Parts: sequence; C-alpha cells; structure tokens
Amino acid sequence: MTARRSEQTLVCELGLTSQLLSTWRAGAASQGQARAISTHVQTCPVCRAHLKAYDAIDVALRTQSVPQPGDDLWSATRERLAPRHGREARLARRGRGRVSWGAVAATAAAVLLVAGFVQVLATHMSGKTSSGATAISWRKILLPAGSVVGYDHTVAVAPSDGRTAYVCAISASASSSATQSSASALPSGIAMIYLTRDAGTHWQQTAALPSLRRDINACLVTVDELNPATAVVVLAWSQMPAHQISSSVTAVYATFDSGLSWHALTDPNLIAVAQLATAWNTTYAILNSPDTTSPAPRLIASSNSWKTWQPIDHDIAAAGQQVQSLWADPASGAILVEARDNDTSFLHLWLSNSGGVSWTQLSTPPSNHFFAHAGLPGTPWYVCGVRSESGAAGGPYALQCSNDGFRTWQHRPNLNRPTERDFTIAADGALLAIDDASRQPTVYRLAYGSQDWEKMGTLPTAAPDNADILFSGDARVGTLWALPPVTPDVAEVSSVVVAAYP
Amino acid sequence: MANDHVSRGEVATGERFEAFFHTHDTAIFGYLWRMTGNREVASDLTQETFVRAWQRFSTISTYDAPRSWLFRVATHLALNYARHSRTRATVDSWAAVEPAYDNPAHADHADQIVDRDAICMILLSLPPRERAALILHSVYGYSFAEVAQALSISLSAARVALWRGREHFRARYLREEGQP
Repeated sequence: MTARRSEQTLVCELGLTSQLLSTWRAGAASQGQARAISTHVQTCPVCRAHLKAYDAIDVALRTQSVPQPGDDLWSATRERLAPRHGREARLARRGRGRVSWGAVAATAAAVLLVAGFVQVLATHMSGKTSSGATAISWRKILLPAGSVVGYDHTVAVAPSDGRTAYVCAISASASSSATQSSASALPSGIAMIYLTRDAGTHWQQTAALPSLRRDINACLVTVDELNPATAVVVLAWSQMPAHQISSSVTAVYATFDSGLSWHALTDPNLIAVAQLATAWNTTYAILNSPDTTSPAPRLIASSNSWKTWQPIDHDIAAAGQQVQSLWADPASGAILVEARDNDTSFLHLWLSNSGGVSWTQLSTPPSNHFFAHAGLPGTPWYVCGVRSESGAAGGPYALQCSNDGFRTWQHRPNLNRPTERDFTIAADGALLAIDDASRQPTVYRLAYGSQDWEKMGTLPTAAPDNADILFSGDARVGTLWALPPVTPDVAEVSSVVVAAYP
Repeated sequence: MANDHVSRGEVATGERFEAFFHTHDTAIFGYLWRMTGNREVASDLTQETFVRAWQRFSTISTYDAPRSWLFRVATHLALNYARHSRTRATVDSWAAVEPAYDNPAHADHADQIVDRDAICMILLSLPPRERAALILHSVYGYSFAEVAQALSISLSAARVALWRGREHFRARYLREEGQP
C-alpha cells in the first residue's frame, strides 16, 4: 500500500483515514475529533490494528541499536574549532599543552543547567583540615532532565568505581494520556539511560529503552557491585510509588558492556533485583519479594551468563533467617551475606567459599548493621558490625571489626552518637560515617589503625537535610555521593553531592 | 607576553562548550546515524553541527532547549547530504565496532544486528523529509510543531510528512516481517 493510495482509502467504516489516525495518535487532532476517535477506536478492530502497527513502528525505531560516536569525536570537532579560536596554539606556546575544558565542573554545570538539566550537587575532597583529615569541598553537578527518584533508587553509583554511575530519565508527563504528545524532550513510555564515568561531570545517553506502557512512573537501575559495566534497568508502573513493585512491571533490561547494548530480560525474578555482584563468572543477586507468595528476600545465582538462576540461600532459610545484603570477594569468589531473623534485631553473617553450595554461619558480636570490604592488603575480609541500640553487654553504640578471617573481633572507637548512620569501609581501610545530629550532616573518617574519628566536613547547605550518603570507590579513588531522599511521589532528582576521595 | 594571554573567560567558555558537546553529542550522532546509516557521515555531520553551535554559542547557551537548535541544524545538514549524495546511502558494517561476544547471554545479538540493519534500510528508503519527521517524532518525541520547526516546513506539512513516513515505513516493515 502506498501512502497516497491509503490517503484516499478509508481505514474503517466510520470513515477514518490513516492520516487522521496518525494525527490523532500524535495528540494533534482537534478536540472534537479526538473525543470521537478515542471512543471509536475502543471498539473498531480495524483502527486498533492500524494503531497497533504504529505502536510496533515506534518500538522498532526506539529499540534500534545505534552505534556510539567514536572516542575521537570531541578531539576531531575541537580541531575544526581551533583555527577560528586559536586557543590551542596559544596554550601550546605557553607550554601547558592541552587543557581539559572539563576540568572546571562548576562552570560546566552552569551550562548544563541552561541546557535543560536539573541541578545537582557534587563535591571533591581535597586538602586537609586543621586536624589533618581529608577535607571535602562540595561541587554542584547536574543530572539529565527527567531523572527519577523512586523506590530505593536515585542514581545508581557503581560501588567498585564511584565515578561511574547510571541514571534513568523518564518523561515528566508519563502519567498523561497515551495519545497526548508530550512537549517534553522525553517521549512517554521510554526510559533514557545515562552514564557518567567522571562522577557526574558528563552524562552520556546510552539507550532509549522502550516500555510496553506509555505511563511508566518508575525506573530502577541496579549496578553490579564488582563490575560497573553490568547493570539492570527495571521500567515499572505502580499506583503506589515507594511500594514494592511486582506484577506492574513493564520491562527489564540488562547491559554487560556499560550500556553499549541492552538486552531485554525475560526472567520475571529479576524485576525485583535489589543487589547484584559478579565474581568468578557467577552472578549473585538479592531479590526483594519476587512475588506476593514469597515475601522474604531471596539470594539467587547464575553461573551460565544469566540463562538460568538458582536459589542458593537454602541453608540460611533453613536457619529461619532471611538474606539482607551481600558482598563478594573478586579475588577468591567467596560471598558474605548479612541475614536477619524474626527473633532479634541483631543480624547474622554467613560465608560461602563454594559459590553458595554450602554456608557457614559466622560468630559475630551483636550488631544491628554490618559493613564489609573484600580485598584490603593482607586480609581477605575486613568486616565491622555496629550496634546502634543500647542494652546488654558491649554497651550502647559499639563498633567491632574483624580482619583475621572472622576469628576475633576488635572494639574500635565508635562515633557514639545516636544519629550516626551510613557506615562504610573505604578502599584504604578507613571507616566513614555520617552524623546527622545537626541540621547539616557531618562526614567523619576513622583511618585504618587510628583511634580518632576525624571530621571531614559537612554537607553543603544546598543539599537536602536528609540526603542519603553513598560511599563508593576502588583502590585508586573513592567518592561520596549525597543522594536526595526517596519521596513518596516519584519526582525529579533535585540535588546530588559527590566527593572524590583520594 | 600579550600573545600568550588566554583570558579566564575564554577558557571558561571553552569548558562550557566542551560540557555542552558531551551533553548532546551522543544524541546528535545517533540521530544523524539514523538519518544517514553511515558512521563516517554521521560523525562528520555531528562535527559540523557543533562547529556551527560554537560559532553561535553565546546565543545558544542561553536557550532553554539548545538541543532543539542542534537537531534543527543536524536535520538541515542531513537533508543537504541526502540531496547532494548521488549514491544511495548504505548501511555500514557495524560488526567491526561491536564487542566480540562469546557470552551465551548475548545469543540474540545476531538477531539484533539483522533487525537493526532491516530497520536502517527501511528508514533509508524513505524520502529524507519523511524519514526525519518519523525519527524526530517516534524516537525523540518531537511534537508536530517541533518537527515543523526542525524541517522548516508548515505545521500541516509536518503532519503529512509524519503520516507518510509512518505509512511508508509500515508497509515496508510489515513486508519485512512477512505480514500482508
């Protein structure tokens, strides 16, 4: 069928032409026409088939894999700018060589704001405080427009490389009618996945992932704990944001190459993925309530490149406990799991050196929270447990750590504040924590082997009071990201803080 | 040392432009690749788009939606290219730049390449203006008004271009899929 012929051919008995259907579908029909067509297409199989074909075209076009620009695109473009500007030549004469324009993030941020981006905060740790601690100076960064806050996800920062992060953007008018054309740059029903490799200075669009629903209101990104190139995106719709999603999920995608290509996943379990870690060719995943009949989180594993997954938490479940979070040791392939039971608020640790085939429950001090780091020199695991409630032996707010294969636990000086939170172990073995006591949360650091917590700095006033701090980083550099709190309503990310941690 | 002087403002503008470039280059390149089906051409036209952006950067950087300006320039460059290229654009082999997959999780990869090539060929078979209208609307969510602006045509002409693009694509896509 040619277009011109179809222009004269009625699509259906009512007399609709394909041109009118096309116009209506783009939200540009007159009000009267739109009303009549909306009613008519509900019951007209011919029109519905035609619209379905249009939907298929949109999906085909949006899912079309598109190559990334070459790495030299910027340098090639700059070469073409240089003769007009002469800057490069002058800089070369000064002996400074090439200047990276991206060096001053604050300036770049100002432009990005103009470019329609949402303002975000970031910081670099630099210099020393009077007490000798590494000081932090915050800087603003920007997230792509439409970046979503929802459920537990805001910006998915790679735990092993804090400069790499994914963020998902969806149309702000996602809940509008499917037939309305959005004035926003983001088409509805599509999630744009952006990636940064420099802690938010630059964001690159990696994909436009389609959903079968045009009114998705949540997009959850989970990055592999040990491999920043692997991430899972769940596009979902839920009437109750901030509640767990299950059947309302519309699509799940995974990338194994930093977003270069995305693959639709069909395993329904993965819609509930909360944590991912790949070590020794096995991927471990913690799932939050995969379905309503199984409310407890589960630990599953795949050793065949995600073709099939098996539950591996039988021993833990048999002990009446539920997995909560996991760490994997990239060197040995061992996995450590934090689990809770219904009888006590203290948590338990389980270790498996067999990929989850068999487990050993470790002897641990009473702790409300564990945090672990694998791969510090000289010790396979450095694990600390923090007790944040008063009572019984050990006193209130105890902090104990083990670095000898869980044989002994040493008391470490605690911050001893009721408002402490977000403990973590940095790549250099230092403990980091936040104290929320004042209106401005304060970041503290306890160097490995030191007895004194050092104040590193406060969150800037521009950050939300209750920002969540996420510590992340590999052996070379760490980052602090202060993420805005999850709100009951899906909203755009308004501010994020990032700090490099040399 | 007057010759060696680089003002702070000048460098700052450069930095801002680099950030601007990195914000939009993937989208513009992707659009131009869809329009031309050729990496080299898309890369060249992307560079040209940003060279023009640089020349007017003081103005563009104040726009609420500078990306629309970039798409408009890119569209004109792509249409110009289509007008002047005597030979029909061909889909370049992308296999060379694809990572080698020996991972069974990527078994559908070959299918993806086939699909991509088929879609690319159908797009390239459309008249350039219809192609641009379809891509701008279906992929990037542009309204009729925005399509009209990007193509420098009237609103009703944009409607017709999108509709024809859809119908042409539909007929060829269904044929490709083996449907009547």
